[in-house]
Amino acid sequence: MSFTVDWDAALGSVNNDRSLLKLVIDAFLDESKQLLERIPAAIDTHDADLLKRTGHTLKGTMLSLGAVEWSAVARQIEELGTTGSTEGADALFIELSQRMPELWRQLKTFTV
Amino acid sequence: MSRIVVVDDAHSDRTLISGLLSRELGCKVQTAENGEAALDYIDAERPDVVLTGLQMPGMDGLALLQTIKEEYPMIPVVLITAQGSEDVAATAMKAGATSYVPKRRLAEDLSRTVQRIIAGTTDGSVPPQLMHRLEYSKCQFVLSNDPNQITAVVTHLQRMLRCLPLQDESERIRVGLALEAALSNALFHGNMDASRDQLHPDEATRSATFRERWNQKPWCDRRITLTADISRQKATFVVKDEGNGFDTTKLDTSMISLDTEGGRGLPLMFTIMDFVGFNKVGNEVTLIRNRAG
Repeated sequence: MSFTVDWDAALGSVNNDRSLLKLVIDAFLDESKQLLERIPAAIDTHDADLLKRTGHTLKGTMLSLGAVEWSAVARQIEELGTTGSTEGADALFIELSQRMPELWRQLKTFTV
Repeated sequence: MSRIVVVDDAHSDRTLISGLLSRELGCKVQTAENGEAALDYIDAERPDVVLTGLQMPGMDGLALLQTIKEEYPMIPVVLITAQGSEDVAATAMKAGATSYVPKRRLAEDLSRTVQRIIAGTTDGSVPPQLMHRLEYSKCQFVLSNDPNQITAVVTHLQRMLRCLPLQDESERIRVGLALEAALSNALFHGNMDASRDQLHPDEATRSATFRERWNQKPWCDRRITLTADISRQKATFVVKDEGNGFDTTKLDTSMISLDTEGGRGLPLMFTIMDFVGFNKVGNEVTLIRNRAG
């Protein structure tokens, strides 16, 4: 199943200010790779709190950008971290890391 | 020009929040990625409002709020809440956060909330010192269904609240926000018979939706009666609408949370006021706030 950015939701989150949406997308493109890298680091060190915070941050920003389906995966990562465990995070990380390039591609179409 | 600090560990969220504020309110926005960095700026610049997320590495939003309440009690703090952080947000509201805006409703609610708080801190033609001399005041307003009248009466009563010793200046604004929430509920849920589903979060859109109803019977004849009883011991507000009320037996106060799916009215009232009670019919609410200590 392919994921699609909901552009109406993305524009709604900035009150239809396209220049602001571009800034937010640029910021996300800049930081999301670093956030993604924190997930295997959290798994390796069994740091459930880091897993929770990283999932939480990704989820919130993805929702603002209309990336609803991606945010659902991030939410599962957050919820797993909330339980105090990192068990099972590998599979979620693999899914999210495979999905992210498509999100970056779709977001970049707005910034060019 | 108002100065605002936005504290969040996510670059994209800082960009979104500061962008909305600077574009819509024309204010100067400084950003910080954690509590420690924010405190450096707060100490140097004494901003008008601090907006903070809750989950951050290092000093998180709750710790930042507690430090501001201790060291800079005049500065209002607004929480940016997200799904999954309702419990800590409720704790922060109890600890003195002035208000909160769910992250999913930033576009609709952020600027209005901040503007309202800034207006509350810079009210006035009446010298603030005079209100510190007020011993007792009881008054009653009968309002038509006009949101502007609600804003005006809350601003007026917020000035009078200077006579009630509260914990600090930002508490006065919090009490004003809780009263405003009660009056808005009386207007839209009470007099306009609006269900939650019919209420658009944006006030302008919401007002447009109900403008037609404002001119039709029975809605146009309904009024909101506000009785305010303010002394140096406590403030009591009774807000009564002329709608059909609601089944108060279904109101489970233990279930009222800062759930991002719900409205902010009841959570604001229950977290800020010392007492919130409805009459049997459900068209009158009594709010009480006692003096600090």
